[in-house]
Amino acid sequence: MSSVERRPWRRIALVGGPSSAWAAHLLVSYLLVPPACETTSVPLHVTTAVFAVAALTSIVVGVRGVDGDRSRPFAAIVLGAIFVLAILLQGAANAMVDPCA
Amino acid sequence: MTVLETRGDELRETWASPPGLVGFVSAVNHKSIGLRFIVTAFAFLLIGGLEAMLIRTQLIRPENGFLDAEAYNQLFTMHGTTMMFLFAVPMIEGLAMYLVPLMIGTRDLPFPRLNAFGYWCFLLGGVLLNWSFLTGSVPDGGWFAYTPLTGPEYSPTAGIDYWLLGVTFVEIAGVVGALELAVLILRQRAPGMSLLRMPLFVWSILVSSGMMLVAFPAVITASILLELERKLGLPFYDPGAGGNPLLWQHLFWIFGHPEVYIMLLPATGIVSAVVAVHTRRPIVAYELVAAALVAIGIISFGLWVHHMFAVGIPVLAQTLFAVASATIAIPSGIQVFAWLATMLQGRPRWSTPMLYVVGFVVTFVAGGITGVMVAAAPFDWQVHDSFFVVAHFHYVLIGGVLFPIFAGLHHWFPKMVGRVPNEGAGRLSFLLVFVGFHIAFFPQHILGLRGMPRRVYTYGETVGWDGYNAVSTIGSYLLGLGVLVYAYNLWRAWRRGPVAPDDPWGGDGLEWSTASPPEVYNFRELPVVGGRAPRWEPAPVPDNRTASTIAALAAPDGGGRQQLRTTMVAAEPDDAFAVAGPTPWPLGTAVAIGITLVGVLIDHAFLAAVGAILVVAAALRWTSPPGGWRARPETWADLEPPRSRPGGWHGLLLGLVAVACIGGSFLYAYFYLFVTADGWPPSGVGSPGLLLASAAVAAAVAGSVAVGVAGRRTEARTPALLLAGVLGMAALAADALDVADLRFSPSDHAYGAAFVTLRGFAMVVTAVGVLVLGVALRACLRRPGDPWTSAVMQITRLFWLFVAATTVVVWSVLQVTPRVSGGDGGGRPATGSHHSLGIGGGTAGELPR
Ligand code: HEM
Ligand SMILES: [Cu+2]
Repeated sequence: MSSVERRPWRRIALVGGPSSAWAAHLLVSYLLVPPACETTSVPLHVTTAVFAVAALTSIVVGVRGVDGDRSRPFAAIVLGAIFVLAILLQGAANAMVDPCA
Repeated sequence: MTVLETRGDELRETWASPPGLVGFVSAVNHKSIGLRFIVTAFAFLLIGGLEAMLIRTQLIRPENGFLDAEAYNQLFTMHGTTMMFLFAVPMIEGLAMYLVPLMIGTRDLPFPRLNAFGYWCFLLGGVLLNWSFLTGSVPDGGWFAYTPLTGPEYSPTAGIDYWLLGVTFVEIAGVVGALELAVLILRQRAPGMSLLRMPLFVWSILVSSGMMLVAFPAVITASILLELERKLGLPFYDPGAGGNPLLWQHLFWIFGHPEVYIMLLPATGIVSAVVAVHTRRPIVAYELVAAALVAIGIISFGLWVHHMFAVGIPVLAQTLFAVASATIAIPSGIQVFAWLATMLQGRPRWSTPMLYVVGFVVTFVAGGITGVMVAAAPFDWQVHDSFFVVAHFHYVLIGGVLFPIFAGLHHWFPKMVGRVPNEGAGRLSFLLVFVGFHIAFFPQHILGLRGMPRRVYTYGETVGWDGYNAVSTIGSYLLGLGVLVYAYNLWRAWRRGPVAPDDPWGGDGLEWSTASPPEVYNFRELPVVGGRAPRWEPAPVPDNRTASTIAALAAPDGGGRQQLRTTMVAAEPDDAFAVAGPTPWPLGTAVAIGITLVGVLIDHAFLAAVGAILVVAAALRWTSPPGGWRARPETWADLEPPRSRPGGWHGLLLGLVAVACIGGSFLYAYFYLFVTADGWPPSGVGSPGLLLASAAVAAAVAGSVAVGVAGRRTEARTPALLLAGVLGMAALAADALDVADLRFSPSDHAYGAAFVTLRGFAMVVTAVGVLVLGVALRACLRRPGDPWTSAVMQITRLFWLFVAATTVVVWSVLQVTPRVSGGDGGGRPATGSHHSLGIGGGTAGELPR
């Protein structure tokens, strides 16, 4: 049995972490738009930072879980990277669009 | 005769369907059912295409009298519905059902009876929809059937009922097929075919099946609610009674967003398969492409988020949604580059499938560009509901879905039929289809920009649209001719084409190592896999355990239709199990459902009730152990006790995911109306009674506990199951008493309607739970020591967990919401969703027409 098979939660973190972070970021950003208009957009940007870091962390933790051969979870790393990018793109939208419009 | 030949004969006898009509109605083999899906879906393509030709003929010149407005509405509705529901998804599922077992090296699907049931549902649903042509009341509300247009007030005739019932039937087939394919792919791959060695087509089917399981329930729910409104007057969509017509749009697009990708992903899977074989190179960057498939699936889910809000959506929130849609361009781009790189590195063979693939890439990229234009909000404002949109989504649907399907059908035809289609005719069809398509749809962009709206049956002479329309119609005829040439080519090859070798293209996948067409049992000796392109690599030497299992499975020895189950990630051998042989009961169950639906359709309560009873009877008849009560499981190939759950457990788990999504959609409807209605519950109604409802929930939960005991303690199994049955029926009785005594009528206000629907959902789940107990009891009494019985017990426990969860959730929602809202509801305003476009992105919104 491979090491991946013995550490399922790490694999789950690797595959599920970045995508959940992205989904959560989308949802939370949606919810924060009206308050951002009334007061400040800072919470929006904090959200982006938090979830981007969370996504990156789950990639790192997941990759560490696969001891020895680092090249194996390549597909999962790519998948995670796509979601990190997606979070950052949404963060850019948060920064560029007026929340009151 | 050699040993191998004897074994082949024995396997053939075990797996064959009986001859003649009996065999036809009782066949369950994945190849028979898959081919039926493909042929039926192709027939619907021809019907939908004919409807398109009639539409285009009407538009060929201004003020044409070929069709009147009513016929035009009916035709575009039926065209869109046929293409989306009866052609694209069933065709993809049919291809997958036929091919995936061959590609992953197994003998059949995990639940062959369920699969046959799915086919009959699809066929009956499609026939029901088209039956409306014979009755004269044809659906005419557009392919997304927006309320209030489709409500009882504006559409009093039966047309919409045909639409709702037919589509629901077909979507049930879709869910069933998805469940089947997902369990197949996760649990039956050849030893050694770990997840990252699966063919990309299999990856795409896995992702798309997962999406179907959660997306289709939303449209099933929306249809059930509308049918309840139309037949029983429950006012879900009626703003005069607390309902909301926009609820339909929200539910429909929870399905509609992913639907586009549900069709597109398998299409790209086909493209990957064709590109690899016809350039004779494995796809470059396999892992990137696999990751891209998963990413597209997940992101298209994220687009639902914007349906979670019933209130006005600010620009920034809309932008977030637009960014999410645009993000899909990244993984899509990865795929396109991987295909191009593979083509550049390999030696492409310009066969018919490859030509269709090139046509796909060109057209799809163009469609993507116009899609970005449509998604840009201000631009959308002008083209919204114009022919620009019609052009855009046909670029995506014909370029992105039809072309790949044509590539795949031609590519795998020799395998499936054992005859080679003609290349010349195939290339001619491509030329006609490709050129015809662009002549037909490119001018529609210009028409849209010049203001021609969609869904209008004619236009004036003075507006200057006539030239483009004439060209578009002529292009459509060319396209139609191309489809006919393509179909004729396959039909002729089927009759008397040259006999196909096993591997006509020099393919990489396991499917090419079977006979053409494959034997009923697919593989005499199950293959073992050591890489991504098993045919292009030396075969690995299996370890002893695997080798002896394979040898045992090659000789059925009276053990029935045996298959090998492997672990989910690494695909190590886990256990052997037998699947069911031919039976007519799936057909019987589907027909019984059909009788119920027809009873509803013609307002015949008695017929509907008889149908419902027949459904239960047929389904119970169907739940016998695979191979019948007399099969001898002790002869199954011997493996150590399985390390994981039986396949049926995973099947039920996925089925429950789908049912939970139906329940979740009911909840969504409840909360949506709760938020948008004035007064929830309406004044004078008061909070629902607590006593009987709580007693019912307590009984259901206690029943679930009893089932748990039955599962753990074999000696107490029978009494515990009986106790659970009594508790379940007590719960149903308490529920029935409570609902019979409501202080309000469900047809007066959406509150009552939503209340009764949710309660009804929980009651149906409980009732099915009681029936499941009956099946479990029968299994425990008749076959106490069987692996089948222990699988049934595990399944029963899982189901009763679901019963408990459902009743508790429904109870809490119904009890808590009226109390917190203080009786006068939120009363927040609802705005339109952005989806009057029909397909694709976009933002503006009001009701169509
Ligand atoms: C065979 C060639 C085809 C032609 C010539 C064609 C033509 C048309 C035309 C002219 C309309 C618009 C009618 C109007 O709005 O006034 C239309 C609508 C539509 N078509 Fe096609 N079509 C073809 C194939 C397809 C395919 C393969 C699909 C899907 C897989 C498809 C899906 C749709 C849908 C969803 C609509 C919208 C129906 C509605 O407005 O409710 N079409 N088609
Ligand atoms: Cu939407």
